[in-house]
Parts: sequence; structure tokens; C-alpha cells
Amino acid sequence: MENKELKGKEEAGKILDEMNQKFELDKMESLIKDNKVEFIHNEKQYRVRILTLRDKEELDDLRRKKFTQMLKDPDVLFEKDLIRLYKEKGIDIDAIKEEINKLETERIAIEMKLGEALSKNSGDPILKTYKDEISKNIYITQVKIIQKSDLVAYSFENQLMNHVAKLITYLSLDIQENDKYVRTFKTIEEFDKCEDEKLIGIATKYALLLQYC
Amino acid sequence: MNINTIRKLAKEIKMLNLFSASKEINGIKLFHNESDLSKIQELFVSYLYFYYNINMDISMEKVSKKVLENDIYEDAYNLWKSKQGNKETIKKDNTDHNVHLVF
Repeated sequence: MENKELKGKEEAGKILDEMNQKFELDKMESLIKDNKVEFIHNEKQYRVRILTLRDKEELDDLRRKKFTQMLKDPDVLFEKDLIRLYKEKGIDIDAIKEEINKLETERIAIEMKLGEALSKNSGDPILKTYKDEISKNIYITQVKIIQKSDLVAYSFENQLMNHVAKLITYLSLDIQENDKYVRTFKTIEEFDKCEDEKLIGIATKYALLLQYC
Repeated sequence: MNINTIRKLAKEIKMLNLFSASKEINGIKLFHNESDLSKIQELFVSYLYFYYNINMDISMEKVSKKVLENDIYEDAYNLWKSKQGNKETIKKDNTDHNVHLVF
């Protein structure tokens, strides 16, 4: 009886998973076809679209303002200065970068062997061995990349990039009012005050996919 | 939704059929916009080419369907194939060079 129940739950989970995947694929298809995606949040219809030329001019203007403001702030350090400071404290970010490069070179070498093995129709054990080696390499590389990113998260470059991501979200998020789409937040200050993290999360995900990938 | 979703979508048979048709029949379009492709559209097209080429190789029996079992196999095969292509081009260039010397 318990087994049957468990199997039923597993089946339900699988169906739900497949439905979610289908939903994601449908959304992606819509986004790719016309560079915009619509979604409903708290019973309101929203849209995220690619930036127009006018939006891009506004983005440049806002980015420039932030850039100048950050440049005057002595507490914001460029990545190279942060790396130097870390080195003085015994943390070598350049060494992490080298390790990442080395891992990537090693991965390419295994990929070449795997590619050749696939073309020669080699047996499953060989293919699986290479695949496992690559999976392990990718995992270690990602850990190193996250480690490096965390260390330089507050660099000038990263802070500016995060700000630009916020600006893109603000500029590309529209709300439907009287059958027409208008910008959801009239100013960046209004956007900053928004406490609906879920809405901002969804919008950011779509906006960055559209603008940056 | 992330880059893997774009890849999954490009791998779908209906998308690959649409891609083939759009290359051969005027009027069949992949996107609503005709020019100024966005980054996401460019990435999608590159994945369409990626899977189109793999499927062509499968149909010409250059590789078995197993290659489509996972992303790692697909990437590895594509990398190996592109390097083979480069090697063949260099080899061909050298041969051409020799031919000129003979004449």
C-alpha cells in the first residue's frame, strides 16, 4: 500500500516537473519570437520587453550618472585594487584565475577525446568515463568561479554592472492599464522603493535574458 | 528559465523543422522582427545551427544518435568536429600551396 502511494507521488511529481518544463519552454518560445514576454502577477498583467532606442539613451544617461558618482566614492575600489589588497592579506585571486584557466584547458582536452570517441562509436564505458571526468571538471571550475566572484563582488565593475541590471529591469517592465502597456515605475526612485521582491525577481530574470542572455 | 531552456527549445524537432523551412522557403520566419536580432535570438539561432549540424551528421551516419543523449556529449562532439574542420582546412591550404610550387 505504502509502495503504491509512493509510486503515485513520484508519478505526480514527474508530471508536475514535465508541466513546469513545458511552461518554461512555451515562455521562452514567446520571448524569442518577438522579444517580449507577458506574465500575470497579483492579478495584474505585466510585460517585459527589449529596450527601445529611447530606453537605451535613458539607460546611458542613468549609467553615466552612477559611474561618475561611484568614481568620486573612495570606498569603491576597482577590481585590480581589490585583488592587490587581497594579496596583501594572503588571498591570491590571480592564482584562482590561473586554476580556472588550467581547468578549462584540461576540460577541452577531455572533450576532444570524448568527441573522437563518439565519432568512432566507442562503447558506453569509455564515453561514461570521459563524461564523468568532464562533469567533475565543470563542478570544480564552477566552485572556483563562484569563489572568485564572491571575492570581487563589491568591486567598482561589479557594482556598476549590478546597477545597470537594475536599470534595465526598471526600463523594460511594463504594466497593462486600460488595455495599454505603460512603464510600471515612473522613475528609478519609485522602482527602488518597490517592496514586491517577487515581481522584481521575475522581471529581472526576463529583462536580463532579453538584453544580455 | 535560463540558457539551458534556450538550448532545450532549439533541440526540439518542431524548431529544427521550422529552421530548415525558413532557410528554404521565403516567407517562413523564425521571429516576428526581420532584422536587429536581440542577443537571445542570436544565441537561439546559433543553437539551431548547432543541433541542425549534429542531426545532419547523424543522418549521414558520421555519428550515432547517442550524441544527443546529453549536453556534454553534444558539446564534446561539436568541439572535436570544429577542430577537425580546422585541421582539414590547414591541410587543404598546404596541399594547394604545394600544387602552386609544382606549377
